[in-house]
Amino acid sequence: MELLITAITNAFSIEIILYTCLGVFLGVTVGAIPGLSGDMAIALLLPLVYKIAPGSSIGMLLGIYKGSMFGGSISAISFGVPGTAAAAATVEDGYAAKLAGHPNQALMTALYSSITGDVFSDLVLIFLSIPMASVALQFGPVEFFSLYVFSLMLISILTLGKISKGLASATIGLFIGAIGMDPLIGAPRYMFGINQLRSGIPMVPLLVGVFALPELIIQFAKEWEKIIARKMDEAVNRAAFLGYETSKDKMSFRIYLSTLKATMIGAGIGTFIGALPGAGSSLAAYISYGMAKKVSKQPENFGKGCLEGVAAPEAGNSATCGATFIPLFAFGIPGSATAALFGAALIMQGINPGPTMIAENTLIIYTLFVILIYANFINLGFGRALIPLYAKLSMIKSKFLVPAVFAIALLGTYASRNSMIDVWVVLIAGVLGILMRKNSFPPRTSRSGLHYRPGSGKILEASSPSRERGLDLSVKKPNCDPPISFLLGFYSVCLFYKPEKTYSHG
Amino acid sequence: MNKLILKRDNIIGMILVAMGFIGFLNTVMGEFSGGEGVGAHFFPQITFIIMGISGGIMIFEKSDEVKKEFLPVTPLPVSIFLLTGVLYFFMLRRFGLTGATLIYLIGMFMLLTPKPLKNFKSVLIPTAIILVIIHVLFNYIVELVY
Repeated sequence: MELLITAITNAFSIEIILYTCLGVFLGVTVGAIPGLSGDMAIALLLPLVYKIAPGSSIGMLLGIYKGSMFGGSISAISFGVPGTAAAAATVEDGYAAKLAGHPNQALMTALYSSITGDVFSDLVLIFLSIPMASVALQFGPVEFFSLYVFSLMLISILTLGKISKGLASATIGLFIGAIGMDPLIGAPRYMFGINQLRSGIPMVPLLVGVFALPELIIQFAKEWEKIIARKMDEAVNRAAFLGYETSKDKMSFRIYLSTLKATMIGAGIGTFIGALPGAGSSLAAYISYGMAKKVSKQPENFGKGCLEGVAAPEAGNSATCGATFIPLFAFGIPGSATAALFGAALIMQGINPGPTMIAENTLIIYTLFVILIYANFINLGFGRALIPLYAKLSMIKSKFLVPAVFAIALLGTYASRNSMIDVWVVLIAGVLGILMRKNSFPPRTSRSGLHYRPGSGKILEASSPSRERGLDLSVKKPNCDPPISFLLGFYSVCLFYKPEKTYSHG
Repeated sequence: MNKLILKRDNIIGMILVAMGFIGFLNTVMGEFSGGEGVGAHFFPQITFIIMGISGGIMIFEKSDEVKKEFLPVTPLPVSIFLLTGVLYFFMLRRFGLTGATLIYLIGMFMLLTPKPLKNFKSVLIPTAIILVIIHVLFNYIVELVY
């Protein structure tokens, strides 16, 4: 109890609140601008994490994540262009609602549903991660390795596109992660005579390169194509609000209640999907939309500006926010790209995600839980006050945005260690990232592979048969009565049996 | 069969098989420290086996079409984009943060503005705003050393 009070006091310090506000502002801003995403912003700010106290940096990153989930809906509703992939499902009814003369109701419904879904998911994380971590403490190396394999298989299956590409992508990540000193016996691997690679490929520039650069390259290439084709930028259609009456577009508590069922469907589905490694927020948004339509009394209104059609996907994508941290906190397994980035940020602050993390860093984790909850209310306040400004921000042209973000990405990466090698790694990783994206290889899987490498490699080597020890397959592990590793291995194989691909959106 | 091999994904599959094979051979014949347990080569060995298998599957799978949004992504704009980054860093050492950023931003904005609209004045305001942000962020907050 004393610890909880200290955590609350810490979390409500002016510095942490200000950094969280900054994070939410940045998150909503990048979310609202098509082409930028919360993941990209987190990746860009990772180098700065070194310079900020743990509580403040966690607050800022959480703020970015939460803000960007809502931010994506602003341009989706205002212009029919989803700011993030997770907001693609919101376009369906959000943009239709705007065209029908209800942009305010649609935006406010998106905001309230996002916050409701997010709070629900955060509470599940808070009440579930501690008991799950205590279960994970009973796991031995073999169980952990099986879990790593299982979740990597799950990511390969659930990620869009072909399974073969998902697997290949994971192995690329695993190979990159294998560069450097072996974690168990300290033997060098694939260093090609470069001593700076002893501790492996630097994580921050690699993440910035694979996350942020491909998107910038795509935007640059599109602008370049316009130059070559000598096309002028299309004028923005600002006439959409003609005949708009504000009195008919007021948000009320009654409207919120009318969308509550859809919101709670989204919150439940989003939380469940968020906790699954690899599934992602866009999948959660689409499934929530489909489910809300199915149980709605007026399913025929979906697609025509129905507010339930805004509430369900927004609650669904935001509800993945808290839940995505469950596997990271309980097992040390980053289930999503954001969780992987967040895990990297925690490691940079000296906190190793995994079952012992909560016991070893109780105060900072409790502080994180408190920030998780109040960041939602900061998001609510910013959203309510600044929606019109955010809508304008989403109109910033790529030709101004791309060079600025690229410069900040390069400078930020260089600043983390003052090393030119890091700049080269960003550029090379960017090429790798764009090649993978262009050829439909899911970069998310390779990122997960990269993150799994240090833990899984060490565990594999620790649990594998050796000259001295015999084959030990966990059946006789002291604390795990059922052979969990066998079950997980069996499920991993089963995942490849006629996997259904019902989801086709980006 | 010929049609399959000529497709993009099938070629990538062949490259992956080759990489997996070479990598696997390297883990078997290369110099890896043994140590306690299975040794440093074991993890990459498994990685290369899976890489080879997934590449093998890709050789015989139907090739994916390149999505419309990636059509403009050709080697020329990608090379130009990356080259501007490299130039920016060389300028950073020569002209300092403010000077290099100023040249870089004006250069990039002019480069990305179509000819009829190419106008030095039109890029000055966005350049000034971004320059101030970068200057404050990296000179005062991050205290960049270059």
